[in-house]
Amino acid sequence: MMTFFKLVLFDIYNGIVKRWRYVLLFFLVTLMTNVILYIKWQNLGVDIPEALSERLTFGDYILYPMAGIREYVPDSGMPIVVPALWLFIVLLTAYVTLHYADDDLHGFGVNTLVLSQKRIYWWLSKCCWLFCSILVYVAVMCVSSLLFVWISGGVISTQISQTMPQILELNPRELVDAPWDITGALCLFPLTVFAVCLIQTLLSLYIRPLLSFVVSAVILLMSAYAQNPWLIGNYAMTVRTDIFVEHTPVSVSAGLMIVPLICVAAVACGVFRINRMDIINREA
Amino acid sequence: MKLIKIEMRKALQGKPFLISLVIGVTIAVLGAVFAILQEYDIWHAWEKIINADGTMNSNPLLAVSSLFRVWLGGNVDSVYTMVFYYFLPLLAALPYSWSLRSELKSGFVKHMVLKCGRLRYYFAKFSAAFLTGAVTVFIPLVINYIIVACFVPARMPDPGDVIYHAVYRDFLFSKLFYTAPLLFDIVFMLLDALFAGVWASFVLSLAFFGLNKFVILIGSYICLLFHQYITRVIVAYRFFIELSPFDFLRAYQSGSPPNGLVVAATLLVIFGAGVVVTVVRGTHDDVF
Repeated sequence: MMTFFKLVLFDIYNGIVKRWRYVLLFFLVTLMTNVILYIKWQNLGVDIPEALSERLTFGDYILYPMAGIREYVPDSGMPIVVPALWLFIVLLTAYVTLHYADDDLHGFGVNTLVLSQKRIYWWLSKCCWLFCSILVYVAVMCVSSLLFVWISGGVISTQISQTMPQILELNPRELVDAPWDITGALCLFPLTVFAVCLIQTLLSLYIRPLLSFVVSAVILLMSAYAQNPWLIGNYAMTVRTDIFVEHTPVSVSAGLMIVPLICVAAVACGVFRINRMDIINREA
Repeated sequence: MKLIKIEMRKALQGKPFLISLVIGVTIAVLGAVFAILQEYDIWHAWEKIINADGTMNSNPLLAVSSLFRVWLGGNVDSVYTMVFYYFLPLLAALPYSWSLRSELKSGFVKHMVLKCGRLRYYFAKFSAAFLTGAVTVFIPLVINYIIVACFVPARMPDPGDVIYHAVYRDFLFSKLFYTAPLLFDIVFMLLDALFAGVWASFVLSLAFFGLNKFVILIGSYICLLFHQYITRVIVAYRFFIELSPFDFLRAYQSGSPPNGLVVAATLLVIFGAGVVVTVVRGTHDDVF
């Protein structure tokens, strides 16, 4: 068991601490989205001066990159609008976590795997590293938003302000009554992103990492198109959850049960695969 | 020319090209099948509208059920259109844009530079990446067009049905769409292929910065997604022109209307950046 903890610590050091540039990247990207949200809010105030009477909260700033887009109705004749920021944030996470496990398996990881004498430790260590990575990236996003709230004179609260639905172009008739609280989504979003990245890492044991990235992107794009509980990207789109939407929403509590099950299934599939794959003669 | 042929053969016989083409063609065929099935449903609904004597109970919007609205590039509400255009830069870069990086890493480039000279070798690589990128995107679009054309009639689009076609007055070549729609679609297919070629050769040139394969292929794609978000923010407040390739490559308006000058400038900037990097780094970097 001690070997396993050593492997996890090794992965956390090499996969998170040594790759601090990615952490910084998330900090800067979130800071930029915060600035953009602030500008959008100020611009909204030009048309609707009352919008400026309520200050933006921490919940607003952290919701903005996690929001996604409201449900698309096929056959409506309207073009599909893909949530560019949401897709960028989730695919950026998928990208920065994509090649660490694969690189490790083509380099030093083979030695650690042989020395630990248990293949399963290597895989479980990678799962732990992935979970910690997602937590660190989301924590950094929260810290960045908190910093901006403090600088811009916002409110440190997880409640969403009344102006956010207008900024996110939501239909007021579809919304549940205020107040809206983002705490549930703050748990579901990282969990769902972890599930997507875990599936991607698992697939990279079967196919080339580049193709596993394509699969992640397909899942996310299909999720933007169709609100279906099988398309797990929906759980990462906060504006589709029952926090906001009244009719046929994505249930946060269902998500908090389904997504961990998907993660467990992915971990189990990984254990099955790693025990049977030819590591030494694996194609680079 | 011989060197370009060799590079083209290497590119077209490679597994990545085949994988890209299979992905592209699969999306295109699925897009065609589901679009045709959807049109069949519409035609069945017409039976309730059109009486035996030819009179109609309500407007069936005959001109809307047309090849020019249903093909992959012009289908407003198809998930396959969305997926295809979002994967277009990846599909274009996957076949051969990684090759220069691999050859720089393996040292193969040293032999080629000694044998053929730097510029000739890089020019051949650049051309091969451009052509394979363009072909990978062009073939699925043509296949989709042909399949759809076999089942859905090419009814002339009516400007009165503009909301269904989403080709508005200020859209790029909109006049062409309502007068010569086949030409309009061919122009957009060529535009898509041109962008794919330009993007593939640009991604190839990133190899000179010593980045790994993942960063070259996926990093550049992530940057393009970031560009889309930023342009949407800018467009919303400053001017209403589509700036993102994900949107302006489609044969309908998905956001703001595309502008010919902006499209040309985007293509020129990406192409120019690729050429400048290849020429400057290619002639100055020590490969030995």
